[in-house]
Amino acid sequence: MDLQSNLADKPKRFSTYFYIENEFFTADRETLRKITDLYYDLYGYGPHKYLIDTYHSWKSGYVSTSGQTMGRIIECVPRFLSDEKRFFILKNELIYFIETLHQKQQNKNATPFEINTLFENYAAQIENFNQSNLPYMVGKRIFTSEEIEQFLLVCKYVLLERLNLSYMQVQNDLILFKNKISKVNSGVFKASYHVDFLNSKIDLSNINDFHFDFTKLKQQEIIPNGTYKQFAEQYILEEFMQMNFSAKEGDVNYFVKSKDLDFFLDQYHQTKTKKNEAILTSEFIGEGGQLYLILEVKSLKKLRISFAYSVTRIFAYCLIIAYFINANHNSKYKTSNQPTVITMLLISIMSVSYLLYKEIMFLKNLKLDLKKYG
Amino acid sequence: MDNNQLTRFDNAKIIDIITKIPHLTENDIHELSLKVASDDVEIRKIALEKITQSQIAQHDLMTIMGELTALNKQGMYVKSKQTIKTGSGTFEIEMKGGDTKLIIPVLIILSVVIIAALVIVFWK
Repeated sequence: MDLQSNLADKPKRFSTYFYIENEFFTADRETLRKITDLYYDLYGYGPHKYLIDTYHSWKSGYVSTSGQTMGRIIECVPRFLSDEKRFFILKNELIYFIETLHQKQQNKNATPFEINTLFENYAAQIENFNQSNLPYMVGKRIFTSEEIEQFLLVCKYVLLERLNLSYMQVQNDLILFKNKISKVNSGVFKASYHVDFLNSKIDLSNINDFHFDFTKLKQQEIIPNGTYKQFAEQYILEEFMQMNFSAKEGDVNYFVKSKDLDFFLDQYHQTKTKKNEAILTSEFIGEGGQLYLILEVKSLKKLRISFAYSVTRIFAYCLIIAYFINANHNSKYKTSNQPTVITMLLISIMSVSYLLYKEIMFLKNLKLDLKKYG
Repeated sequence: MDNNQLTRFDNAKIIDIITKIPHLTENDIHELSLKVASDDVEIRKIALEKITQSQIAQHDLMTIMGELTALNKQGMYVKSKQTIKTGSGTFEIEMKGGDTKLIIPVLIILSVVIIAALVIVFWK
């Protein structure tokens, strides 16, 4: 079990209970004798006899162990497991608690201003994290508190290294995108970036107005020691190998993304020069996440024609309103049914005024579009 | 980071870490070095696949865009939607353009102006 695959998915929690139970039922004769001898020393003749008499029924599955009996077995069996197996239990138990820390940092929406804060807060959470909730293992003398603390430090170190790697990869992706998109007007595109490690989204639509000022996350050294030093070093090495692979894969993604982004923007500029209208949508897998980009091209000629139409319509509406107002005051149109006529004229004036208002709003938007796409 | 070329994969750092770890036997070190080399091969394979995919996608799109441009030049109004899969994701372009017989809107504008003028003249 490694940290990366657990952080990516949400696997079932490792069960120390079932692991130790399995070890108990698959122990060789000599080990089983030692376990039962310890069981006798700790719990006396009665429980020991019950254990011996019921062992085969438990093993075959005819009878299940009670909670009390299993608790006693859990206290005895780990003392006769190899260091490797004991470390396996410790590793899986602690990684579960590290995952709960990681899950709390996921699924956030941020702006470019908040990127540093996002990563710095997570780093601070890692540093302060002490909740392993494994005192029952200390109580049952499966592990000492020092052993738990030492491996917790190793897990925190590995998580911090992964966070640093993700932060560096996100920086590279965002700097690349900003450099490429700088020649495109703001407002013409919508963009967002999904950070893989944090499963969080950053809105980049206003990236041209933003100046990146990345900080450096805290890094720490670690010197594994204690009973499980050798296994901890092995674990760190496995994690480093995976991070090394991720970093190289990130380099490949960066390179390919850069070329694809160049091509994408090239298509945008070509479409613009051809005076066509287009919507270009793309997603790019980068080093540390995915970039989603939508670019819109509008025909300036069409915008100008729409502008001319709009002005003409406004002029026509003004003329109509003026005509109705004039008709209202003109004696030629006075009839016996004057109130009805006046009411109808007023309704007509209000309707045309509403159309005039809508047209003015439309014209304002056209002006903005001309400024944006011009 | 250079946009224009993939950097050479430098395994010196990870090999250095491997050799500095005590308790590793010669066999362990050898196995790990093989794993590093194997990862390198895997990365190169991924890189080649992605680069090839991008190049094919770009070539296909440019061919289609060329044909659309030719249609535009023939005086046709074209509406198209293309989706391609590149090495780094997907790319979709929805485009419309071409000759829309702009004389018609010009005539409409002229008509409106004439009608407005008539209204003003016959108003009194």
